[in-house]
Amino acid sequence: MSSFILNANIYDFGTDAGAWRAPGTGPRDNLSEAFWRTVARTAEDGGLDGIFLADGPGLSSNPAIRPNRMVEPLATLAVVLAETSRLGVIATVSTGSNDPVELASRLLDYNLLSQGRFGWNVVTGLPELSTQDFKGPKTPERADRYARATEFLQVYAGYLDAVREGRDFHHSGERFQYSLKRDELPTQGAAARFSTQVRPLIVQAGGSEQGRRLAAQSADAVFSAETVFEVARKNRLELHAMARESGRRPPVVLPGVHLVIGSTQAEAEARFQRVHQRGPKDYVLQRFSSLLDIPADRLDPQAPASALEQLAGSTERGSAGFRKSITAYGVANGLTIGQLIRHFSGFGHQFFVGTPEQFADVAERWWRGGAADGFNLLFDANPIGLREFVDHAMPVLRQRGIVPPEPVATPLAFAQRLQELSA
Amino acid sequence: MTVHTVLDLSGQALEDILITLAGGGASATALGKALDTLPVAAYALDLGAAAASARDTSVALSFLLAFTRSSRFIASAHPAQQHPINLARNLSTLNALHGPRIGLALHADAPTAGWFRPEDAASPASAADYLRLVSSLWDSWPMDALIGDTEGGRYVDADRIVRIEDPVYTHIGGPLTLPTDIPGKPPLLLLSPHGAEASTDPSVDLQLNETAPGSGHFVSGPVSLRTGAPSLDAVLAWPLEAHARAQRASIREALQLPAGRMAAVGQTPVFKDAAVAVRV
Repeated sequence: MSSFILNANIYDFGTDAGAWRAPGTGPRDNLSEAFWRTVARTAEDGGLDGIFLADGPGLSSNPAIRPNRMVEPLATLAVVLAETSRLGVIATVSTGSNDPVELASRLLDYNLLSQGRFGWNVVTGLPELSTQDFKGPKTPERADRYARATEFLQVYAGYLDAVREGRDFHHSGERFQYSLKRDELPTQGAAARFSTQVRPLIVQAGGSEQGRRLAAQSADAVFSAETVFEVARKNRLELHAMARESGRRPPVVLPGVHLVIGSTQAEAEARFQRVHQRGPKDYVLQRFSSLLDIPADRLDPQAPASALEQLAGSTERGSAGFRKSITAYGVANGLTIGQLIRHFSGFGHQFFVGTPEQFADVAERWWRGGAADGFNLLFDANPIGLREFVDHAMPVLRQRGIVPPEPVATPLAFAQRLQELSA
Repeated sequence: MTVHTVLDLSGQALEDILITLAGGGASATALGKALDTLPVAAYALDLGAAAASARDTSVALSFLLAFTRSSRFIASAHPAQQHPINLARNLSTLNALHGPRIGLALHADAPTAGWFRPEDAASPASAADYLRLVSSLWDSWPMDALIGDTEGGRYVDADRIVRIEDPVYTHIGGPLTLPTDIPGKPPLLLLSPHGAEASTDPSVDLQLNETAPGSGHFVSGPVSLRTGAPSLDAVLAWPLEAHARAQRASIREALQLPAGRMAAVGQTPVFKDAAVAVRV
């Protein structure tokens, strides 16, 4: 039976810049095994489908005032997998900072050790500070990034096929060249045998045209930035059509939702403020500016949201997916840029502060209306936001038949569910 | 003299372990307990393999740490394939999550001509160069720079987050995304063929020399690395000295090594511009 997919995107302490200073939170919590075991146990017992970790290979901002995406996901998610028996995990790894064959051999082991509970979230970029480390003269422009990612995924898939089928692997492309004999590949081990049963899930995040094309050609699931129901529905249908044109099963679409749950609207707002007010002054404005690659002094708080597209018209560095979804949301709701900045708290995902029932209404509308197959949940603070969600929102979602009354218990459920689910 | 045995898990023994851990549940938990009980200084991962065919063991290491409480592990790596930033981040994360229970070892003759080496690199890198670079990257953000002042809102002393300089890998400098405890840095080991000269690189914590060509037995002072256990059963039944006791020590203590030190030869702060503080 089909059901709504819910993954928790554990953004270290949380998406809010004040999260690391939230009551009851210690500044080194995200570096402790206990934190990740608590997250894992809470998510699995609470009935979520998976844990998702965003990542970049280098610092994307100065952590002087807030920590941000510190731990390496593959190392961290092993704790989550060891603690659980059902929960899926998705690790972000950039094609810009790895070699496809080296990564494929690591993920082959990860697929075995997770028993098919693992997915790779493919991103293409590098933080500005990391470009020199990964041998690029400068950050590759978007077209280059996606051309590299497309060939990277071809190598990755070809290598896994060669391992599974026990044959030589050859690839001669513009960016990558390999010629590996069968006996140089790990064709004999348990990882190779297991990969004939389950292949690692491929997730793609990125809303540019190139990103959507890459997702249609290669992804089982898409982590998208969608904020307007009608736009999300249209984009999902387009993605399905693109995938079918490529002869593929359409990927499941999981938009991000940045959320805070409270028993009443007032309680939810107060709970949001309790964490948010601990964040640094003007942090949201600066982050918004950086996310869209538009200087903060050009963001007129009184201007309509539609002005954002012109302001960002020439940029290659900002996130196209976030810019599109943010602008669409602002226009659809008649917001000014100032209101939009407040509303998004610096994050380009759907922003929700409300009750479990209101959240269930949103989930039901997006799911049954064909705008989403599930949500990637970004809590303002971890693990308290996750705990509040499973304690208060999950019972309502179960009652409404949006998620199953009991989680699917088979260990392969995660990879198989996401690979087999489609419209 | 008390011998501190490092027992290598390679070939079928490592494969047996991966299969057991993959099964999860009671079997994986029991294996973790059995490994914790064995009185060895550490387990090495895949060091019995020839240098050219060494595999990445970071994934196996991640799961072994998650299923054990006190066992110490020495990972191997492939310095021609694994980008030092990715490996340094991975090991720093594991060191933070699981405590000082890990080390990193390379065969001295491991190939290093990797995809991340510039084509115009002036000279070939050695395995010791690669180890020094990984250790230097851990210096890019020392753990004691983390202030964690939740009232004042100051998370870290950003002046101490630096890009490190390396004389051989000149284009790689970090910083890493997370801090590393310098005294508790994962120790770095170099395995040398019989009769090889000692490494002069101060970032190498321990150089073990093979006792005879092809013996698979490497020693340095009281530390003895044994390779060749044919299976997991053979590992768990390995005949150790009668007085050996399992211990809950850090890996540096277990290998009789002093505290870790800074390795980077040069450092440049990366956050001089305060405006960069909130960039994505």
